[in-house]
Amino acid sequence: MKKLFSMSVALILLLAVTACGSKPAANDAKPADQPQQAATQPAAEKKEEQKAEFNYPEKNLNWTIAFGPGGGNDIMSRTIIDILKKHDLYSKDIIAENRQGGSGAVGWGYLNSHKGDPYQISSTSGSFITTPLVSDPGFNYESFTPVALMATDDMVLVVKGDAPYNTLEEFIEAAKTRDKKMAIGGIGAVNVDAILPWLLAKEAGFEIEYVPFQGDGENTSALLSNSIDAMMANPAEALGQIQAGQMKPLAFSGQVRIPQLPDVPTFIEKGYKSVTLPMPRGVVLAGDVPKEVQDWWVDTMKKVTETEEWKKYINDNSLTEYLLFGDDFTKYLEETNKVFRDVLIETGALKQ
Amino acid sequence: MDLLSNLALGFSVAVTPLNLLFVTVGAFIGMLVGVIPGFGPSAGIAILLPITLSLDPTSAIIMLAGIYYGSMYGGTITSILINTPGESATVASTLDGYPLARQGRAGPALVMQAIASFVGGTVGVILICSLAPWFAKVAMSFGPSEYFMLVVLGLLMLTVMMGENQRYGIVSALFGFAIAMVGVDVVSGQQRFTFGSAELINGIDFIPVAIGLFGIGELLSCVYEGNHREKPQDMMKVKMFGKGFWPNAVDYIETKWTMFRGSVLGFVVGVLPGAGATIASLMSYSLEKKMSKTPEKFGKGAMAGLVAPEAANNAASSGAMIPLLTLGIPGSGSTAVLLGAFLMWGLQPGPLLMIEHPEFSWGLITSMYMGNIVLLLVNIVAIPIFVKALQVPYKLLLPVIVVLCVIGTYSLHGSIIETWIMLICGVLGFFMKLYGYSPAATVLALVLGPMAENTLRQTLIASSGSFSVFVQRPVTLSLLIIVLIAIVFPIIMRIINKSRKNNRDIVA
Amino acid sequence: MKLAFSLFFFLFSVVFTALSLKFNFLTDSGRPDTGFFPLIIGFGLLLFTGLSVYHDFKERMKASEKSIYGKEMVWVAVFMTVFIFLLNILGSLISMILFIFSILLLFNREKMLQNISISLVIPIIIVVMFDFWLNASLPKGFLGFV
Repeated sequence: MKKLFSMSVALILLLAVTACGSKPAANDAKPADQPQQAATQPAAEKKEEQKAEFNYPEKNLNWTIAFGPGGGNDIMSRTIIDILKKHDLYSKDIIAENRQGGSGAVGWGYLNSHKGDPYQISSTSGSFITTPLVSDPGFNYESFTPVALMATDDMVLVVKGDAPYNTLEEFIEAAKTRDKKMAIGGIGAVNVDAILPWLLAKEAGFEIEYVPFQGDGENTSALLSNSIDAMMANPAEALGQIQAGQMKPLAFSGQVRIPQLPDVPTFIEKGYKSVTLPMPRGVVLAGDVPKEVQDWWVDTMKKVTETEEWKKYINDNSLTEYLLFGDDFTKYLEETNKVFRDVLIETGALKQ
Repeated sequence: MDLLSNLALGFSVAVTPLNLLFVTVGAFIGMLVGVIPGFGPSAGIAILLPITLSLDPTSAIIMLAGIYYGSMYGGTITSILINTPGESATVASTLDGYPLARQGRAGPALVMQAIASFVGGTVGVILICSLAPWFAKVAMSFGPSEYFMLVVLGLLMLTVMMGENQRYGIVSALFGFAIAMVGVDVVSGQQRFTFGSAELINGIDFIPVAIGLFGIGELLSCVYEGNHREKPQDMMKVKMFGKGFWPNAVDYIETKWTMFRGSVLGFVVGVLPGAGATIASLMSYSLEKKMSKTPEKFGKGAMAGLVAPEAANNAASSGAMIPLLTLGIPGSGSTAVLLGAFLMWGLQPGPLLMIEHPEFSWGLITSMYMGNIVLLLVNIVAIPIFVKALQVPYKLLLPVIVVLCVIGTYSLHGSIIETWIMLICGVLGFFMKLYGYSPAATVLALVLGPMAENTLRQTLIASSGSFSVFVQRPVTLSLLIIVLIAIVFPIIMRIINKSRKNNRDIVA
Repeated sequence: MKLAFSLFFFLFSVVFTALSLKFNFLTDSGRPDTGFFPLIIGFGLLLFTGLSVYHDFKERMKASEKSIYGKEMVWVAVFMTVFIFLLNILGSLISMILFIFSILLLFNREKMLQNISISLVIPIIIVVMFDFWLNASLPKGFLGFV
């Protein structure tokens, strides 16, 4: 009797857990275009034979986000998913899942293990090129079906707000004359963050110490505490600091200036032609999917880039819009891969 | 009165019926998710973030504040009831929380932790409102060299919780350091001990190790001791709403100052981005042990040993809002997710956030406080239910705990390798407990080890290899002096005690 | 047994230190490199696990308390191993049902009705909670469902 009672308490407790769980979810169902709502349906994963006539999409889409929630890649993926849903561009559900780890190795590795599945998709970033180059995760950019390059990410070289130099020239001049090497911080050891300052130092003829950090927070606090002399920053993340005068931007690594930082010159303008290395933000499908599916997605992504929401996303996140579809994207990836490889071999990060 | 007007602004945002509903709902879901092993605040926020995306930013952040605190409370509940910490900051809470539950004092332990957390949150909010700009300056003076000294200080505190056998304690800590070396070396980019596995590139995560060493290890040792063959009343005597359910006067009196010391210490350390809350809870625990008249009770169910880290980690989580809101620097996994959410809502994180969006920033701070109040109430109501769950016979509870641990670990990153790591750590944890090793030292070393390594190497790269940076920077130097005192002081005390004893012996 | 556990840590230390040797200890400019910390930790481990082995060997004759439930604990550990192994084959729902039922069969044989209801209800609740409500990933089996 006593056991029965305890048991029923346990059951009620667990039932209460689930009951309470579903309540808030129901409350939240009211607002329109709830991103997660549609994703609650389980995915039908059973593979079917490819039919002769082209009928797409017939199933839910699995969107792998190779980075954690809240990061740049996550925000872009969720923006695109929202647009796809809001404009009814994808008729079935889209299930987004963060599979972070190993600078994208885990997420893209997952996508790579679903070769031939037309319902597996993911978005790319700078690590899409660098991770396969340096850590041999069993895939590279050729393992996937390219859909579209949507935008590129560039970085800005910043110094502390009260630093004695106001321009890139003054910074380089100081670097050449003083005894101690300039310490420039960035995220990761083998990344665009590390390559850009290295390219600048090489072309301008001074020496640097590159200090790798794990995340933006550590990097920023190192700069603000005067532990390092300069850092490579993501414009979207540094914009707040720049506006507040905590940081001074010296130069931007893109091909052209961005509207959010209109007064900041590019390295190219300043004569350092090699100091530009755009990181591709695009969309790829699993490898070996039918040509029709690739074409379907190329068309769909074209529609996405025409929406207001997309334009707002580009602007809010200080990205440079750069559109390439299908094979053009492949070509772009090939070239970028070659540039990254050459530089990494030259810096000694990659042994040949 | 800056303080009052800021608070008033915050409360005018947070205390509307709708927003109170959001914070309550958030706190409730957060707590339920936090109770799942492996789902601490950062996982809780990440997994529940999408729910809030359709709300307007202020309501969303208010709900997130509720979720944040809710999952923290939930994680502490599992630390106390089944010895499974949900994040590194609650490891110290298991040391005395779980023994208390085993002694049949789960009720008082849960109530006291709720009160300690509440006090921590209150002190935190008062300090934020009054001294935020000043603390922001402190946070701004912390670079790699300062962090290195701070971590060294944290590692010294580790020795306090190594248990009786110092040799085994050191082995436990070194083992934690060793497994922390797995993964990509941040500084050189080289992979270490990954054996070609993509899932190991990011290193071994804290969660599967903690669930294994603590949760599964404890479960196996309960079976070893035969708990599953006993009637529940023999194992955990809990009286419902009886005398033994509420903390007694001794509990309050003993821990009165512990709460305030823990809160202030927690807040100050929590302001520093990085492992703030973890180091804060560690320091607070060892401080109390050092100050206690009965240090031998620590680790065996001392109320102060639970109250100290709980007050500290809660105050630290308010402290972490300072670098987030005033500098745009995320200090922990949870605040990093919050920062990402800011960007998603189109808010520009950085020093101007508080000036340009005061209603948002102060709304966040006050709703965290509201979250605290709501949780104190929810907790007092919910504690009897959780305590009741302990009265289910252990043999029935056991498979359910295992399933929750396994599924919780798996679904965190969808990784089967992490699930295996958890199982292996479970077996290790059983033997470590059986033979007197210190699982707490292992998991804390796992968290602090990479910080020590990265910050030291970053310091030396930035200084072009010169060690002089440790004495040239004033904050680093002060921390260095504290570290030296912490090392030398006990030795001197021991010598003095010895010579006194000798003198006495001679006299006698 | 205590000695065996110390030996296990000692062996771990040996392997760990040996693997650490292949990394650079210092960079060309004399700063700590990839192998700096691993090697220091490795030698620390060797020293202290070595000491533990020595002490435990000296005290190996000390009678250690044996539990009559040791066997049952091993069973729980074995079932857990099988459970995790089955996750990706049968999917989480069936594996959970099998696991809970086997454990209960071991410890609670006299109440079959209770066992069956627990092993059905709890897994279903967990699946509903994780898969539908939290939208967290659950292991899927061959047949492609959780």
